[in-house]
Amino acid sequence: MKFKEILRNKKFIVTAEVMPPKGTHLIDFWKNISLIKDYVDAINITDNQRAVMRSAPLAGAALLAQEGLNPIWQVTGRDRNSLALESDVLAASILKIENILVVTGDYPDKNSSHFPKPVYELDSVGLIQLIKKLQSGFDLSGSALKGSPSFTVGASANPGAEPSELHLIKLWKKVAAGAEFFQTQPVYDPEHFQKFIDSFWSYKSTFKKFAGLKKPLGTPRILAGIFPLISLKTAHFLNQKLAGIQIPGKILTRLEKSRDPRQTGIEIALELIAKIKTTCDGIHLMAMGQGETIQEILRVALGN
Amino acid sequence: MIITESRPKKEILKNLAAFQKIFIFGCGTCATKCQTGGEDQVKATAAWLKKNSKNITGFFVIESPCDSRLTNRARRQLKKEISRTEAALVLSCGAGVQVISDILEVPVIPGLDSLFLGKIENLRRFSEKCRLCGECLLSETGGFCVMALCPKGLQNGACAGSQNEKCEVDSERDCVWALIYKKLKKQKQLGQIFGPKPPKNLAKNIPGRNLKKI
Repeated sequence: MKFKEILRNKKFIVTAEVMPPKGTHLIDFWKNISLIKDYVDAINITDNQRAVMRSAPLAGAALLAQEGLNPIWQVTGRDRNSLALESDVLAASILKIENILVVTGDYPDKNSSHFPKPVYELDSVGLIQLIKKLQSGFDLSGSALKGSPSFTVGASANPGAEPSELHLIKLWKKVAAGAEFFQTQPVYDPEHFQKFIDSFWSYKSTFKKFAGLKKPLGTPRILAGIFPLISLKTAHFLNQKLAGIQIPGKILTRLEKSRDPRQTGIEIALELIAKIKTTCDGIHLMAMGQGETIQEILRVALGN
Repeated sequence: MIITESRPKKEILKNLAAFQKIFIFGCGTCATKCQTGGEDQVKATAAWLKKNSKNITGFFVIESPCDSRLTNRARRQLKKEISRTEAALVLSCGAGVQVISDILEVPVIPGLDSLFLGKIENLRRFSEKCRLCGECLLSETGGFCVMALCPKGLQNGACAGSQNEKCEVDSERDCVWALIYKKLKKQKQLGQIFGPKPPKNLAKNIPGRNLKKI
């Protein structure tokens, strides 16, 4: 089933992300894909995550599309200007990619030995507008296209971001621009996540009023980010290197005391999934190349 | 104010290696305020260069070296000294260096690095305020410039990378969008950030800009 229909009809949606190859060998990429493909509805292919260079996700997403899987092509505005982004979006459509996740993009590391020039001409809202413009049959300069693309567009959300109202405004701006689903940053605190979901939905009417929208606002599906902590080192890495993530102290202590941190990490992820299952519309698994871990979690969580 | 800092002494000596007779220009405006190119710094630089066996043909602080009228006037006044000079060292921002370079025949060496257009908080703290983008948005962002204060220049609100209202790029620094939000909320103007903002018109920011008034 196409991801567009899954988003519309399926009660509990499962997606996972896979990094494109660093280099030209596809062995690890296909290994990770084959481990997870039977358990997920769609697979995100990430775009130079943390501004660390890998092959373009357009290639990985196109390979999945050829296999009849549902790729979600991730696109950031960090590395390309609007001209490059427009032509890449058209290329994605030609390559039979039907789903896009737009993200602003992590800033390049100032202390890295090579600092690439960040672009950020378009932010996530601008990226959605660009895709919608192409879908309407025109490019940003207003020239007509010979054949226009059609995409299901999603965006990211950070449930822990403060001030919360500022971030809620931006999330609803993404919905107003055309985002149909959200994949969130990793969730570690189910109570806090519940509060975030409640405030997100209750803010809809405020947003509508202040934004002066004439057309109705959509109802995006929300997939909670799950990042299994397979070791204390992973947890510290996420805390330090991934923007917008804070892992609660009690989880760190649990990992520290564990004799089998990987197993503990899987248990923590499963407990989280059980707790948030009724709060949102699905889960989005991230594990940076840990296909086995994702498979193990989904086998238990989905009961097969 | 154009915020400047002194270039490494080693670099300056390297740039001046081929020249013996040096004239030093200072700037009476921004570089004086920054204490990088005022009277005191020009004199100290002259003394330092003498110690490094250079001949100082003279020194002069131009009120605003970026104003070609004032710089031309200074050149006329200093004709004799300049005629004996092999190279000029300029303690001003890049604009001043170039205006002086335009009107002198000898090589002109920059003594300062130009950092940004910003605020002097005190003599140890300076902060960027404006990117000279050519299209002011301050009326819509609570008086905080997203081009100058957000590393990503985001127009539609904070990114998900901010943590505890601090910037993803520098955790010591406030997320400018958190500042905008609080200010607009206080002013009961939050409605200003609900509409999607189109990307900035970058055509107004092509290097080599000129302004001709009719």
